[in-house]
Amino acid sequence: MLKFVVLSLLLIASILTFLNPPLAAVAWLALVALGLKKDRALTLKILTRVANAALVLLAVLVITVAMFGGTIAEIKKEMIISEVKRWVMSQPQLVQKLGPKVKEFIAQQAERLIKAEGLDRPWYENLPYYLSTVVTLELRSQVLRSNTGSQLVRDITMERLPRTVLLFTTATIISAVAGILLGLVAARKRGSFVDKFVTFAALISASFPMWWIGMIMIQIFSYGLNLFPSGGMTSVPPPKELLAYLSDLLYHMALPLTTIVLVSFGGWAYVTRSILVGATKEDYVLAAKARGLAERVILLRHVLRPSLPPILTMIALSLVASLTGAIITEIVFNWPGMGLLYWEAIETLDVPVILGLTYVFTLVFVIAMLILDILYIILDPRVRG
Amino acid sequence: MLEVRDLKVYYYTKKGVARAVDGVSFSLKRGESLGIAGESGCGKSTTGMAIMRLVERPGRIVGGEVLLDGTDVLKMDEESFRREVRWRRISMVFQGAMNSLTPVYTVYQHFKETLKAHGAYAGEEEAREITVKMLRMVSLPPEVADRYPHQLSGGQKQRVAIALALLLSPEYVIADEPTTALDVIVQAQIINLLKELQEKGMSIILISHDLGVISALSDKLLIMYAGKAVEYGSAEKVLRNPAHPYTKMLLEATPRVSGGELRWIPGSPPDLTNPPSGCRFHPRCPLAKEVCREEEPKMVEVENGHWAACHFT
Repeated sequence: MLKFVVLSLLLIASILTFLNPPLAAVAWLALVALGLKKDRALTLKILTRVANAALVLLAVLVITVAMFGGTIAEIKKEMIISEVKRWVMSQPQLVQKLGPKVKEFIAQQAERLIKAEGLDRPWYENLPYYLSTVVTLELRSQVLRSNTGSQLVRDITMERLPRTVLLFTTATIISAVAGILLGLVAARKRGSFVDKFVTFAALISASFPMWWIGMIMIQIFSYGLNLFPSGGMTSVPPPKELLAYLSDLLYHMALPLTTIVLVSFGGWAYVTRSILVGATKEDYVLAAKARGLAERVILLRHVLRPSLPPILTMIALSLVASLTGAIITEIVFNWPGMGLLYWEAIETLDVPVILGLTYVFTLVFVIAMLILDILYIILDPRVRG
Repeated sequence: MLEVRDLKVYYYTKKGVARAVDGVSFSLKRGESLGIAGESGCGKSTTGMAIMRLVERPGRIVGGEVLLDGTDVLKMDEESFRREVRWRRISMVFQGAMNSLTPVYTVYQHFKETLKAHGAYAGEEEAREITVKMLRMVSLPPEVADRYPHQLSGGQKQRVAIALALLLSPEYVIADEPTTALDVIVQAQIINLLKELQEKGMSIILISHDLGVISALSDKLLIMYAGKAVEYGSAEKVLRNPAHPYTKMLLEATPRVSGGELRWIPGSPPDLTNPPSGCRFHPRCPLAKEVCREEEPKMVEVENGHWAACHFT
């Protein structure tokens, strides 16, 4: 009963956080008060984890902002000056009108832009501004824009995120399911031909870089056999009709998806196999067999169930990692997701976008760790204490 | 009646074939108890595992019979052995039984799933009642049922393991080093518990390297060395009149409350993939002669109900 109340409160508070922050704060406080009353040690444990998570976030942000001081700020200043120069020089009338004052004008314009981006101040003076805007993703980009023309980092990110989810999260789910099943089969028939084959295939699969396999795939299936497009997410222009659009999308997804699955399922199979083989050697598995339990029951209840925490950790961390995409692979396949956005932001030194992305990546990672902590408490009685 | 005839368990390792159990025989009437003694690695535990058909690869039971009331259980198919014999008629308390409980389940859940596996589960209420009754039998309070293994002490876990072994009222219980890794007081408690069960008519096969523990509990005694039975007979006769030099030395190496000099047996047990020729004990035996190296001694009856395998009995 208490468990149910706590879990539903947790759910309500989580949803409210996005819809109505002030109300959510009340819900969170109620939850903490309830927790402190019923199970002080556990609540304090979770609160400590939350505090740790916040600290990690803060540290990552400070380090990122600090990194944009110094050399990078100098490079950025040079970039702005040459940009302004090129802009002025490309307008002959303007140059004619200014005459000898042209240098002065360029310097003035550059100065204005440098001030606007805070490049004339040391990084710690910029910190409060960045921190206050980054948390709500109200940051404005300096160079990049969303397709709709918005300069809000939030809009830019939210436009890219679904595309990465579509490709990488789907691929992660496919490779996780396939890999875990293969690992399970291999672990059950330890030492058999199937086991040796899975181990061999897993090692081969896991040892190639994703982008390299991607290039090979493009070479063979796109340039060689002319079966699939060599990159992009849709045809140009994209089909108008929904069904045609979806099939066009799938057609473009085929190569990158296969590539990611090919290089990732092996790791899953190998690690799952190792975890399960280790778990099968436990004394309590033999004891369960001695007690006359059926093999299926032993596998599910005494091998798989105690191995759930490490397997779930892998799943959660991979899902989170899939949200960030992969920079090189997205470049190879010209997939306009988070990885490519990161690359574009780095290339143009778009500080707010880099900062926003770093914040988002760290945030989802930290949240995943928190969820894992809570899952461990549910799954492993030893953690409950 | 449990009869083991010429049991052979071999381990097929990369180094060669290790003959962990090589032709062991004994018999046990219902209600009788047997002690199996010997140094580490002599095949005592493997014998117990083989009776439960729990020998795992690379080991294999390569020969012999385990007759339970005349039926060879080694010839039964795995599924009917699991349902009808394993744990129902012969159960086991493991060496290091403290690790025989799965960490993510409560004590009650262990009892419940064992009942379920043998079709003896008839609802939550009854299963709880049975669990509490079994826990009481090993002097544990009812609250233990809802504890997780990590919340129990070593002695408590050992008692739970024994209670689990008794759950289906088996005719034979194999206890493999049930007191090792426990402190002396808990050891004495567990021995007393086993004695009580014995008095209630349960047959216990006690496997231990500790002759003191064994002599307190067994009607019969089997001494093993390097996979072979070297002496076998009624406990009283074997202890009073040991016929094999290894048994004698083992007895001299057992500490006694009355004091006396403690001897040890020089050397160590042989490599089972390449055991010594003839009598396997000859390299360590003070009486060894030429014949011991050349010829393997047979089990001969030295007195009524007492056998030994030595050329000089």
